[in-house]
Amino acid sequence: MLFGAFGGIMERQVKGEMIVDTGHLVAYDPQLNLKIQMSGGFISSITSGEGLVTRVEGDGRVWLQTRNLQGFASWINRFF
Amino acid sequence: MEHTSLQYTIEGAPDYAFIDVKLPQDTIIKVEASSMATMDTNIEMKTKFKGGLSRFLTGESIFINEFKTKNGSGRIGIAPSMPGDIKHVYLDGNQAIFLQNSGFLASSTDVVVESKFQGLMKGFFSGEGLFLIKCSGRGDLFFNSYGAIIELDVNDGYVVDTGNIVGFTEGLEYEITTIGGYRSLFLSGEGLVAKFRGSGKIWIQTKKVRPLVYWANPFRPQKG
Repeated sequence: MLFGAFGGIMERQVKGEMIVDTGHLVAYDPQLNLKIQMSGGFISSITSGEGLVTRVEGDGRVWLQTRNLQGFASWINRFF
Repeated sequence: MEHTSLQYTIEGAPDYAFIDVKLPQDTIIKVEASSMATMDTNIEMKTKFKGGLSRFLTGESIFINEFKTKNGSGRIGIAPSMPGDIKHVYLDGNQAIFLQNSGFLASSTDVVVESKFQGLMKGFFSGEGLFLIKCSGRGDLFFNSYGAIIELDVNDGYVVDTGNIVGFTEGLEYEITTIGGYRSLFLSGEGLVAKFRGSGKIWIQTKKVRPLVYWANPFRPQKG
């Protein structure tokens, strides 16, 4: 199987649990469970710019991209 | 010789660099807002409102969150928003570093990060914003660029296109000027340059944002 991404692709081994920014998650082993949660407290999740994150639970691999499209878009948009 | 107090790895350099930092227990790392990409679940985020209002007034983009490990060590992965490289420097407490407006990525907690007004002439004409980010104190500093980063040792001054500046060490003086008078500014397509004087280090990026913007603009949907 081939898959592509934005930036480089990194493989990470999850043992137990790990937090991943939703915009960086490319693929994951099917036995892993994903939960969406806030990145911090109620206020700081909004003001921090981190927003929602994915909590990955279980044992298995995730593949992450080293850039996320939203970040790129908000960066380049400032110049137009 | 390079010292470091934080363990880190850089992947994906120089075009889409990403850092993974290992933090000991009860250690804080400062991270540019919205750049956290992955972390262990024993890391907590705190948002700082420092400089919040002036940020909206000036358009400067220095907005930092703090991440702290609890109950053991932890790893945090940090990704800049722009395509490009990441450079690590250990600040020794003697020499500060100035970064262009969007250059700060992360630092250890003892590094003092503040924006410094460049002056109207320098700021407006440089096209890179009115502020530079000054990083001082002792500790690890990570900064990022658009394109790859090249480190230059400057002994007797140097001239750099303002769009290629990532950062430079304190002690270098600079003025913003044109290469061949104002006529050449309009006719040659060469932009403004910073004329540095003195000795120190300058970090330059191999790409400039503006040409990317000009290139991409015709492909954007028409408003209307």
